[in-house]
Amino acid sequence: MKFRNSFLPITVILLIFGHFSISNAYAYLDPGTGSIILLSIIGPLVGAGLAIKIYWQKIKMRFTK
Amino acid sequence: MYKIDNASFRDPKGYVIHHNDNIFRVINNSYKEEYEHCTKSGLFKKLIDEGLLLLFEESSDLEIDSKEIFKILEQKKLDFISYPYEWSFDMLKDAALATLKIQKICIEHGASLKDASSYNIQFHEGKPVFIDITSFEIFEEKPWIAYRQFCEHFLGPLALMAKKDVRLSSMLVNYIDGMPLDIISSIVPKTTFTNFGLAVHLHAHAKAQKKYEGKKIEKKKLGKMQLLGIVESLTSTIKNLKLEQKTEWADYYDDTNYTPEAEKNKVEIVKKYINNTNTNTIIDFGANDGKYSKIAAEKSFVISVDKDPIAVNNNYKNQNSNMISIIGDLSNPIPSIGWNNLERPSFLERIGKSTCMALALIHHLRITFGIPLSKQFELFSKIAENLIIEFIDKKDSQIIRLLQNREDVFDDLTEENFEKIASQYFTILDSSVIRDTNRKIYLMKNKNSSNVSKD
Repeated sequence: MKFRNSFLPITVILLIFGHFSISNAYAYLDPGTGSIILLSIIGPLVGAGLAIKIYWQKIKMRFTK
Repeated sequence: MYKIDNASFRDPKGYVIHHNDNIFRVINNSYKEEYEHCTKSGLFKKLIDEGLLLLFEESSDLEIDSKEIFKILEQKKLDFISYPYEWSFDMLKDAALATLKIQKICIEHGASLKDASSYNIQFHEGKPVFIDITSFEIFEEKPWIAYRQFCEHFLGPLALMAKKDVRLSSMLVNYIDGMPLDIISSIVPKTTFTNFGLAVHLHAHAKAQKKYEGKKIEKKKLGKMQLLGIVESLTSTIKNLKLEQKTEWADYYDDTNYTPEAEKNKVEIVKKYINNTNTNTIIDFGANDGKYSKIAAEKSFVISVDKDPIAVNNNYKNQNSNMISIIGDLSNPIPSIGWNNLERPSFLERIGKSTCMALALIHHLRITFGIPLSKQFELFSKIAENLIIEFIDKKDSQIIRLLQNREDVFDDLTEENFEKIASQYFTILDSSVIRDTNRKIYLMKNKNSSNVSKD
């Protein structure tokens, strides 16, 4: 099994799961409240990741030219 | 006269109409602003140019007396409508990636998908295309409203297929609005928690749904970069899901009893018979890797059907653009599902009547599934204008293998009886023995049709 570069993702996953650890379910339909909250938590993380990736690619491009 | 599509009733912004065998999409006034934005921003053009949105044009061929209507569009009619539970792993995966690519292009054009249902995707010329015009909304800095639907329609089922068992895609028949993530989260192996994408979009998502079920929350803002980050994260998670399983039929053609000469002769016979048919569509039942489907696709559009999901997947990856490969089991065809049992029609309703090929199939239906020849021809007579069918004698080594641990109670499986039953429904136009085998291929014409000519 590959655990390559897995320290950071696992830390992030533990933090996200910590947020949802208290289970409190109601048995009726909802419009996806949990999905919206999850997006609000991971949006800034993956957005920052993407920004760094784009920035890094630009730096790489400059040095490979 | 026109008819509103049975699946088109949820979206108040528009609906689909069938008229003179053509497909129209009615756009209501309430969608005017979004439609104009998608047109003026170049979004529709970009998606059509990229082959991601099915071609449409504004139409004046259809008049409907309603003050609600903003525009009527005519959309290209597809050869066959298929559903996610009929797609192989890579078909669902490509459909998911196409949806994410569309969402990325939407964000770049100041729009967003408000709907990420897998039913909005169809396969056209071998590739996934988005078909719904009213699924776009103007971009706002808020969480992606279709995120949950995307995960339940695509990411979850794909994880289940890749990480547990590819055959579980059949569960999609029961979950027309996507598979609940808590079920998938409890089925897939625990090792998936070490995969960042699955841990977040599947496991944490399932937990969050449960925790916040029915709770009121404050609206949160999410910017373009953050939403693009979500699309990027989903894309890489899905790209990394790969199918590494094998099934019973996956290597069937490496395990046949044909000599090279017999195989060559079978191809010649099938080609000759296909050329004697003239329907727009040919359906190849028990197509396996699609060898004969590809031959048929040189003549007509082909629906290549097999019950084995891996065989269908291999077929999909090597198909040509004039065919679609789908998962289907003639012994238990896909039923009609959804509201009033009309929303998603059954497999048999969708195929209508065409040329059917049943090569090396009927002995499996007879021996493995216990379906007598009389029942088989009863069905073929409903769906086949023309029938290209292979009869295999009990002396054949494949049948000997099928019977080795069974009592032979299949008295009807004789050439004489086969021809007698076939003749009740079909006229036998020609037959040829495949060289060096105990197998024979027939060309038949339905007694209730006039659609084939014999040379």
